Amino acid sequence: MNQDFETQLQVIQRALGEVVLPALGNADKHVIEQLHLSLAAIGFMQQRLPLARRYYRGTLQRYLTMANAVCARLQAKACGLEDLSAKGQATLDDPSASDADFRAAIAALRAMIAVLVETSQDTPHESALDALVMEHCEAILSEDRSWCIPLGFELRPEDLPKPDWQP
Amino acid sequence: MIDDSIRQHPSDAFIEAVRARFPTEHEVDTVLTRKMRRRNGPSFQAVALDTLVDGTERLITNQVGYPVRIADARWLSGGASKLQMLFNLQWRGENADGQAQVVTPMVLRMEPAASVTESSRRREFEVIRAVEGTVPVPRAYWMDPDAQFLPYPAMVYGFATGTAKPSHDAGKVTGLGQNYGPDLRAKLAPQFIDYLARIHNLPIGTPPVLASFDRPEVGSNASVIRQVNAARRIWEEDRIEEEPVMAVVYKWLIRNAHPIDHISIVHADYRSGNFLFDEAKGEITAWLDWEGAVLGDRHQDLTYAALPIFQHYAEDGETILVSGMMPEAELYAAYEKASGLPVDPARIRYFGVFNRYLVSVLLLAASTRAARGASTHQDVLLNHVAGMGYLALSDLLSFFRSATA
Repeated sequence: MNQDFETQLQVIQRALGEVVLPALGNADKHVIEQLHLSLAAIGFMQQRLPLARRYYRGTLQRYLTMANAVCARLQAKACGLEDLSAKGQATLDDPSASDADFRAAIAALRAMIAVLVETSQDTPHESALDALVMEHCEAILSEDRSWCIPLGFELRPEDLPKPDWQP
Repeated sequence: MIDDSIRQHPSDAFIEAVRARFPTEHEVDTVLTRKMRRRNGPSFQAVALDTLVDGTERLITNQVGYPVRIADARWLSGGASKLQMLFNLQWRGENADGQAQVVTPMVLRMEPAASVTESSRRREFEVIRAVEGTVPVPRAYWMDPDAQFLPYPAMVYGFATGTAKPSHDAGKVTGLGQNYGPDLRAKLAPQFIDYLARIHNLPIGTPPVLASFDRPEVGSNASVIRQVNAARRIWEEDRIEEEPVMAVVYKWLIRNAHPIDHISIVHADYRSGNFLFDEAKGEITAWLDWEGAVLGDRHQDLTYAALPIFQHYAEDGETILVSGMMPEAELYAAYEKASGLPVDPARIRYFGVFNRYLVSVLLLAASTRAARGASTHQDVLLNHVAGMGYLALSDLLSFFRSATA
């Protein structure tokens, strides 16, 4: 069989786009629109599935960098983040870790950093922490936007820096 | 930290804790609480057209007091949030003349189980009634706000003629980045400004007019904070993943909320794609999507219309047109002239941040959650627009940094 998922998705795309769509003729507009959007979702998966592991690993690495910077800034006040950071690093170093493991580690770091931002309100380190978070998030969001380029929402995708997960 | 499963299957304790933490307007609270309670029920099941016809006939019969008939029912496409059915109503007409046999084209607009914009049919009905005669809107006839006759809350409109997208650029999803082209733009842009000025200058009246809206007070920022809390509450209820940027911005929005200097009806989704127009005449025929309307600060509408997701480049490849109309600075200047109301740069900055925060909530939380929960008739569309979330959040971050520098 065709083991690669790209081929599986490609045959679906061709069937839906070249056979089903033209046959719909006078169908309701929303039916046609949903088929176009389904094709767009399949196209996104076809382009991104082969890169998913690199993207998740890269995102985890960037959140670990942010977490380490936050820990350095807050020292003892970054309760819990150091442990999460150590677990995230272990996941990154584990060759058997799955994509789901990477995503779970990323989610845990994001949630803990957001809690620290919230609980830092009216403390002496609040503004420094907020600035640090915004600085690190800017780079992360640039990569996330590149990930979503196939969806077609970027006005000038060529202006985004080349992400490190892109071959 | 909270396990994400509590959001998909919220306990009573979770629902009540979020309500207590982020107090908002009474009707908004009612709608959001209903959304969370529904989430523990079945996922959205496709509704047959016959079911809607039957429920709509019963609703209208109940309201007018005599039997009516619905003919030629069919689905109406457009929009990302509500189910819509177009039909011809056979009835006695507006004046209920006992002898008359009138056929009126109408639209049923019904919520699915969840939506990108969870909103109140009561408020939508009230605000359309309030602005009727001031701006072109579809006639609001009847509502079923508590789903007494239909599977979900709904309302019945008169059918408004016109198109939302120009024939040369009809492929855009829900009008995002809509390009009307230079000829049509020249005709539509002055109307776009004029209608916004009229809406904002309309007196809000006293209940029962706009009865489902909490009344803001001039000189107080409490109503602005209630709106910020409504967005924050949706973030807490719907998000799939946390975003540290959102935590930073929420603190700033609460601390820096401006007192209201003039109470306006705020459409809250005033932009390209949300009005119908006659393409041949270049005239706006109806303003749509009033479901998110609030009583508040005019700068909210101004900055919303200028959001990057509704922009495109003009023919020169350099000039950015907001809502497909004109450059941002020109929009504000033309609005000041048309309305006689000042445009305050500090409030423009504040609501520029607020609207970007809200859009990030709707894309990264509400849309994503609704699609994941199989809660709508348009999961594939909501899933698609959720892909704009990182773009919206990135825009929020850079705008916030420039606004607070």
